[in-house]
Amino acid sequence: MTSAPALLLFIASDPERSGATAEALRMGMGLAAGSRSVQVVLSGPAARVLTEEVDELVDGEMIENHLEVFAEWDTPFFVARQAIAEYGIRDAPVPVVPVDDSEIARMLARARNVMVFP
Amino acid sequence: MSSAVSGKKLGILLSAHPDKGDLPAIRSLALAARTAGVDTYLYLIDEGARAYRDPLMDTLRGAGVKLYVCAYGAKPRGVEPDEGAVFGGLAALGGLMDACDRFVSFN
Repeated sequence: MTSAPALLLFIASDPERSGATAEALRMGMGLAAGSRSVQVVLSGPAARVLTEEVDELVDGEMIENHLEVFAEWDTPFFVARQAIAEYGIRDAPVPVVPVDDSEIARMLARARNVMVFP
Repeated sequence: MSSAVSGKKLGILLSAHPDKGDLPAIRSLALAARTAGVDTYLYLIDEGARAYRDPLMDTLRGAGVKLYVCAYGAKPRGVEPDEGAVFGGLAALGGLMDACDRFVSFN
């Protein structure tokens, strides 16, 4: 079990339709830059950022850059199992930890702060 | 007015476009907090920076809410820095999150 983070970003927004997903990752990256612990949970279409189609997404280049930083930090992304299956997530640029809904619920409950991007 | 939460700190973040309809809830939350003596901070970021032009900001400022705007999000949306808010970066947001007893976001 991971320790409770200072901030949990729960991202479910569709990066094919809006820049909210890219902005959420930018915020997560910026807020994790200090000693603050940040967890990223991807659900639903937000998991598309971990696919090869990232270039086709809104602010795709920005997303790629953010993912590179998270990869350098070895920051795991917690991804809903259903989204992993639905979007065929494999060989992601960051470490992926599959989680089910009950695990996500526990993570949300334990985090000091939560930001939800619906 | 003194209350059980008087002196506590509340942070509110808006990243969604004002047209999404979060401003009435933010108004109610922020003004109720101020009435209860809670130190209240509103941070506008990304599309939420557009809300800086909304007349609500004058109301909140008048009630003692401290306003912050993400400079990175403000510039491409034509929101120019002025003395009505602190225009800063994510470091300010992080500090705010750490300092607040409760932090609520509208995304």
